[in-house]
Amino acid sequence: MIGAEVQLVERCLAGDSSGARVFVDMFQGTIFGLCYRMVGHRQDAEDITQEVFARAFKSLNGWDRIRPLKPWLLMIAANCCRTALSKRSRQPDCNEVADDVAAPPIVSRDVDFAEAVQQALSTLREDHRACFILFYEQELSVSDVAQTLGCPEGTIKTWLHRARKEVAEQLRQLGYGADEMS
Amino acid sequence: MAGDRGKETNMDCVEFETRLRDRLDQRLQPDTPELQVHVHDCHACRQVMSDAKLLLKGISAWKQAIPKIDLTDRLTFGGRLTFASQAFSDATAASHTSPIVRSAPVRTQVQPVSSGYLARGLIALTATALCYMFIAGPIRFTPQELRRELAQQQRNKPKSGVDQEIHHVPTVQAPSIRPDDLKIVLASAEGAYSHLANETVAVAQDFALLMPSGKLFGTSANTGVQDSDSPMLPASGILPTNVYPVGDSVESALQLLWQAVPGDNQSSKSS
Repeated sequence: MIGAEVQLVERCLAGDSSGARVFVDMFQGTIFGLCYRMVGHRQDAEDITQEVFARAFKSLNGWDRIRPLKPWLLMIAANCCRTALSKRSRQPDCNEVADDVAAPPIVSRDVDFAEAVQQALSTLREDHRACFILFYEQELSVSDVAQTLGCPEGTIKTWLHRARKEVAEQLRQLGYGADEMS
Repeated sequence: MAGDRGKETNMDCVEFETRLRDRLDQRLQPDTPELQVHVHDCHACRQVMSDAKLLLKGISAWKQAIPKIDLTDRLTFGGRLTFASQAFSDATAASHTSPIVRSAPVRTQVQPVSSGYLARGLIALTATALCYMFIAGPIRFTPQELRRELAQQQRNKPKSGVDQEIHHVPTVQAPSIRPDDLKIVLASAEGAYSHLANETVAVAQDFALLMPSGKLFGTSANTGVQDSDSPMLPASGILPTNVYPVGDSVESALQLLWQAVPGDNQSSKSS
């Protein structure tokens, strides 16, 4: 797998446009997923995804070839999201949270439920949110999340626990608790 | 509460929470028979288990609700990506630019300025600054510094009546300099400027060849190209407007400085 990634990166570094297409095709869903969950806004997430790829292509030489690409790209994405969120926090009244979740055809109750989770996520601390998304949405292991966010595994476990607890509390406050479990 | 429940399974609430956390961290279902036994007897832990199940259900719905995107064209053929080793140059790239591109945070690549030109510019600037300092004394970088110096002069001046003081206009004396030294400085500044101007012509010509005639910034403005003394004159045939607005000003300034040299004038300079 890593051998294929190395070959792909070599193609990109050689200026091969088809290699770049494959690269983007392979990782855009992952990157966009993280960005979308982090910022909760489609257009912003697209812009950040674009920036992530631009940064990644510029620093492809710096990628450690014995490690998989995905955590490396997710690390860039997490940093870009953090930057975007801190910029947003300095701007007045830009708090659009998940206003355009274009969901695939699923039952409306599930859409509400998903929105509720996203809404609960948006109230979390940035590092807790990133940790939760990388673990549950990107399905990284705790050690991969730790590597991506540059923190010890113990810290990631603590953040994950707190994030889970806070999201569950928010869901209960939104009235999802009692009937869901019955 | 913790520690006194679930005695049948020898599990207290702390251990229950630890095991539950471990299972969740490993993406395992939370309800094992052991945990269920404890939950059966402990109301608080039942709530914790209930939260965990609710959360997992919410996450599964949440994971599905993500919009699909396809940014491939926008990213690879928007002409924006630059690779670490070389510019991303595909002849077909320009013709595939996606129409969905909107305000993008990715910066377009800017041609780097040659360090040689920067160095020459710095030399010319330094020569001009030295020339100024010979004539007018140390440079005051801010109006505050100039004002402070004038105030100091005002304080040092012996007072000789109210009227005189009110109408006194402080003057800054230029340091004395030998005319020969000044000529050398002026000649150096002129040489540096002339060299820079010649270099600029070459750059401007290259620039003009790259830009379609008449489309430079969409407008035209009159500046130095038409000036018969301008070093841009050789390029006037190809430059649609002009890129050399400082020629006249610098030449005039140098001419004035030459005229200020005691015992010399423009004719001696040109000789």
